Amino acid sequence: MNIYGMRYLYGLIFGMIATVASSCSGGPEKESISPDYPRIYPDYVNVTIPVNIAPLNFMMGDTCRRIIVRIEGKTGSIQVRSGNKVRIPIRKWKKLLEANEGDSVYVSTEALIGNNCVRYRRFGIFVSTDRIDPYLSYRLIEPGYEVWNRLTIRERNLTNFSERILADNNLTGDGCINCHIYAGQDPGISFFHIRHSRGGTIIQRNGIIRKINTRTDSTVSAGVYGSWHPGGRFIAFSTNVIIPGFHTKGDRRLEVYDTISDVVILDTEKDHVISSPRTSLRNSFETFPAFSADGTRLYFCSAAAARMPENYKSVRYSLCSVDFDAATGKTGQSVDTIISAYGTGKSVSEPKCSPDGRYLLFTSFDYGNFPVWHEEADLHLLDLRTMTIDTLAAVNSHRSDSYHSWSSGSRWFVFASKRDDGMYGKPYFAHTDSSGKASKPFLMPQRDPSFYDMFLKSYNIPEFSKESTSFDSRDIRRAFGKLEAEKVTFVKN
Amino acid sequence: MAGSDKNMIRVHVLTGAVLTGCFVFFCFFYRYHIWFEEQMRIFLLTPGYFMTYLDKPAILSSFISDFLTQFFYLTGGGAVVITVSLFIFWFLVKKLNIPEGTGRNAALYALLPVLLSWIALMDFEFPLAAVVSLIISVLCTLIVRGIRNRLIRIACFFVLLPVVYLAAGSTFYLFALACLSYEISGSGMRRSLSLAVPAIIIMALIPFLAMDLFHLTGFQAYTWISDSKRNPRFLHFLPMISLVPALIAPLFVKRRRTQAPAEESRSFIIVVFAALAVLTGGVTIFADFTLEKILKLDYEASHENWQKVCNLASRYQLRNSLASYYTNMALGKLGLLPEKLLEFYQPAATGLFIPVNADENYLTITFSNEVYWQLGDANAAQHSALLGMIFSPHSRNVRLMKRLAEINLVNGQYDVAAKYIRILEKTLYHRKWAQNRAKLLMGWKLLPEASWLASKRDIIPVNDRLKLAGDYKGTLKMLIDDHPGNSMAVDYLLCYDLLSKDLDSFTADFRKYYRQHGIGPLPRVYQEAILMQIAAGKFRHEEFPDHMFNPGNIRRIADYTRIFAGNDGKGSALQKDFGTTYWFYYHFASLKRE
Repeated sequence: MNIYGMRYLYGLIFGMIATVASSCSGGPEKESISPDYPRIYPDYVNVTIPVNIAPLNFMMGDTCRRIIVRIEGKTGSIQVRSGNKVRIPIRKWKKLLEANEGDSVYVSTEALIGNNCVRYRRFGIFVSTDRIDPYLSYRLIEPGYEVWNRLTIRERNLTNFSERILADNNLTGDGCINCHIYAGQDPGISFFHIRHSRGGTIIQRNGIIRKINTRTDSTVSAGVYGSWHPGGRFIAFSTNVIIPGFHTKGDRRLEVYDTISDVVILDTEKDHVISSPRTSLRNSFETFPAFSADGTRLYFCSAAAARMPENYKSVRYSLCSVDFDAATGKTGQSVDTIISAYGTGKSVSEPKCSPDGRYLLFTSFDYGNFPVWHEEADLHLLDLRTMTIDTLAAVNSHRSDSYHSWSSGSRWFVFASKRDDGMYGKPYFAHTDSSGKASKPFLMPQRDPSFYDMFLKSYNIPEFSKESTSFDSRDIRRAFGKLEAEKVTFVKN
Repeated sequence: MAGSDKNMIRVHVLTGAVLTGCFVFFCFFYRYHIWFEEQMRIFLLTPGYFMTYLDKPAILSSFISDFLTQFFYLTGGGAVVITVSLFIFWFLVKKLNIPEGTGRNAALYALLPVLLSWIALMDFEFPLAAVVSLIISVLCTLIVRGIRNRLIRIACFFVLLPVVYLAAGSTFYLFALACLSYEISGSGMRRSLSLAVPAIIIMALIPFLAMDLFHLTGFQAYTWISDSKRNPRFLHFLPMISLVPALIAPLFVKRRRTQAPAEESRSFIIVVFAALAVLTGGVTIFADFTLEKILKLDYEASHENWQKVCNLASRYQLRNSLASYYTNMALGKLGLLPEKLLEFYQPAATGLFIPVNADENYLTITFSNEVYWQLGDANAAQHSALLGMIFSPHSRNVRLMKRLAEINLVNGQYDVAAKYIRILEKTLYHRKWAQNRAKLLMGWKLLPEASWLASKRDIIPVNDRLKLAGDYKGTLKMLIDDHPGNSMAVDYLLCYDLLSKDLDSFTADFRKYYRQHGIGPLPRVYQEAILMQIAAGKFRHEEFPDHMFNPGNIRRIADYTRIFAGNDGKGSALQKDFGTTYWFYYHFASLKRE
C-alpha cells in the first residue's frame, strides 16, 4: 500500500471513529429522532437567561447512559459529551453568552437511552442583555415546619458556583436566624434577626455591625418581616404573634397565622420604634410592610382581625398603602386600599416594589398571610402606573411560588418555588421585559446538576445584591458574643 | 519456650479474648443499639455525597465510619465492624511500641485504649468515627516514625499536622504527641524545645484557624470528633487520653531492664484483673440495657410483630415511658389496650404519645412518629418524622426517609416521595426497598405490594382541620370523626382520658365514640371506669346492659370501696389485690420523673 493508500485508510479509520464519537458512542442498536424536547432537569428548555449567569448544567434520567450536547449561537458553539449529567465549561459558556448577548443560543441533545440513540428537538435559550445582580443571599433550612436545627444564611455568586456562609446558627447559640434583607440590593446595608436571649436584629452598614433589640413594652413583639427604606435610615417591621397550626389532610401541611400583628417603623439613627395608629389598628392584622422605590409610600398587608384559629380560612389580606415622610419617619393620615381582598376573594402577601418604581410583585393565595405551604400561592405583578395586575401565567406553577425579590435593574426577580416536589423550596429566576411581560423562569444552576435531587433543605427568602457583602459568619459570631443588644424607644406617631 | 515468647502468647490470647468478648457483646447483648445506629444514618456512595463531608473537619474518619455503619444493617455486621476496627486500633497502637523502652509490654498496653473504646462505644452518642479517627492518627504516626531521615521526618510531621486534623479531627493531638515524644525522647533540652515549641504553637493554631474555616465554636474546633457529635463529653476522649501517659513516660522514665519470666507472669495477671475491672466498671456504668430492651421493642414494632412486643413488654416490665409507648401501641394494634392497659407501667398519658419539644432528644423524636403512623394521622407522622430527621446526625437518616417516602405515597404526594426514594435507591442495603416503593409511583393499584398503601389510605383523615402541635385529643377525635371504625383511635382516646384521670371527658367521649358494644363484657378498664362513674352518678346503670359487666368486677368495686374506706384511703392495703385496677390507678398513681 502506498502513502496515499495509507492516508486513505487512516482517514477512513479516523472518520469512522469521529462518526461513532460524534453520535451516541457505545454502539447504539438503533437511532431515532424525537419530536419532543429532551426531558432535562433542571428544565432549561426555552428559558430567558441573563448574560452573566453561571453555566446551566443539567441532567437526564438514570436510564440515559450518555449525552452529547451542542450549544450554538450565531457566534460560537460548545460541545459537551458526558454521562447523564452535562457540565458546561464555565469559560466557554461565558464566552458563548457574551458573543450572543441579545440573541438565542440553541441546544441540540443526543442521548443514549438504553441502546437507543435519541436526537431530541432543539431548544433555545434567550440570552438577555439585562444583567442580573451577581449575588444572591438566602437562608437554608430544613422544611421542618416550625422547628430548626442547623441554619445558615449564605451568599451565592450567580456568575459562578461559589457560595459562602454569612451567618451560621452554630455560632449564635443555635438560635433561629432569619430574614436577611438588603436596602435596595445594596450589600453595604442589610439586616437579619437572631432569635436568642443574646440575639437581636443585626444591622450591618458597610461591614459595621450593630445588634438592636427591637422589642419594646408597647409593641407586640420584636421586628419580624421587614423592609428597608431606600434611604437606608428606616426599616418598616411587622410585629406579630405567630402561631403554627397543622393541617390534617395530606395535601396541606402547615398553616402559619397571626393572632395579633402591627406594622412599626424603626429609626436606626435615633433608635426609635415609631408606631402609627394607621398601621396598628386594634381591629386589624397588619403585616409584610414594603417601601415604595422612591420611599414616599409604605405598602403593607392588612386584614380584619378575627378570632384564630377558628377563622383562619376567612382571614384575607388586602394590599394597602400610606404616605411616608422620610424626614420624620412618620406615616400619613389616610390609608389607601390598593388591592381589596373583598374584591378579589384572595389574600395578598409579601409585596415588593421594583427598584424603578414601576411594578409591585406580590403573592396571591386563598387565605392567610403565609403562602409558603399554600399550593395555590402564585406571584402577581401589579403595574403601579396602570394599576393592572398580571397573573404571570408563564412564571407560576401548580405549587407554592413565593418569597420573591427584585434585581436592581428591575428586569429580573427571584422567588422560592416548591414546584418540583411540593416540599423543598428552590430559587427560580424570571425575566420581565420593558413592557412587563415575564418569561419562563429557570432554576438557579448548580455545578452538579443532581445537587437538588440529594439536597434536603429549602432555599428561603432569596435576596439579590449588587456586590458581595462585607461581613461573614465571624463578624456575626463576634456580634453575637460581644455586643450587647441596643435598646430602642417606643414613639407614637 | 523463652519467658518473653510465652508472655507474648499470653498477651495475644488475652487480646483475642477481649476482641471475642467485644464481638459477643455487640452481637448478642447490644445488637438493637447497633441496628438503630444504622437506621440513624444514611450513606450514599456518590461523589456529591462525599462532598458534603468537606464542610467540617474529620472528613475522612466521618466518611469511613458512615461507610462502615451501613454494614450494621446485617446481622452481626456491626459487631464485626466494631471488633475489626478495635483489632486494627490495637494492632497499630501495639506497633507504636509504647511505653517505649520502659520494659513494659506494648501489646498489653495497647489493650487499654481498646477497652476504653469498647466502653465508650456502649454510649449511644459515641460515634464510630472517633475510633476511626484514632486509627488514622496512629497510622499517620507510624508512617512518620517510619521515615529514617530525621529532617524529612520532621518536615512530614509538620505537613501532616493540619492534614491529620482535616482527616481525623481532634485526635490529631495524639498524632502530634506520639511523633513529638518519639523525636524528643533521648534528645537534649535545647533540641527538644526547638521542635516542641513550634509544634505546640502550630497544634494550637490549627483548630483556631479551623473555627473560621468550618464555622465552629472554639470548643468545637478544639474537640471535634464528628459532625454527629458536635459537643463531645469527657468519656469520648478517654481512649485517646489513656495513651497520653504512655507517650509521655519515655521522656521521664529511664530504660528498664527486661522483665524476668516470674515478673512477667505477675504483671500479666495484674493486667488481666485490671482489664476485667475496667470492663466490668465500664459495662456497669455505661451500658444501657434498658435502652437495648426499648430498642428491641422498637425493632419488633417496626416489623409490626405486635404480639411479640406485648410478650417482650410482659417479660421486661420496664418502668419507662418509651417502653409504655411501644407496649400501648402494640396493645392498641391487637385491640387489647383497654383490657390490659394497667397490667403495664403507665406514666399517665405520656405512654401514649411522645411529646416533641426542645427538651426531647433525637432518639425520642425519632420514635414519636410511629404512633401517628399506626393511628392513621399521616400528616402528624410526617411532622414528627421530619423533625426526627432534622435532629438526627447529619440531619438525614434511612429510617425516617423511608417513613417520609411512605407517608407521601399514602398522601398522594408522589413527587416528594420520589425524591426520597431516589436517594434511598443509592444506598447499599435499602435499594431494594426503594425499588419496590418506586413501583408504587407508577401504578399502585396493580401491585400486590400496594395492600398496605390501601389500608393506610382507608384511615387517613379525609377532612382538613387545623390543630396545634401536641393536641393529642384533637388528633384522635379527628381520626374517629373521619373514620368511626378506627377502633385503635377510639381506644387511644378513651385511655388517654383515663390515664389523664379525666373521667368527665371519658364519660362524654365514651358516649360519643364507643361503638363496639358486643355481646360480651366491656374491656376491663372501661368497666372499672364506668362503674366508678355510675357510683358517682355520671353514668346511669340503665345505659349498660348487665352483660357488659363482669359480675366479679361489681363485687370487686364493693370490696375496693370497703377496704379504701377502712384504711383511711391508704393504698398499701389495696395494692396486692387491686394494684392493676383503674380504681387504684385513679386514687394512687402519681407521675414521677424517670
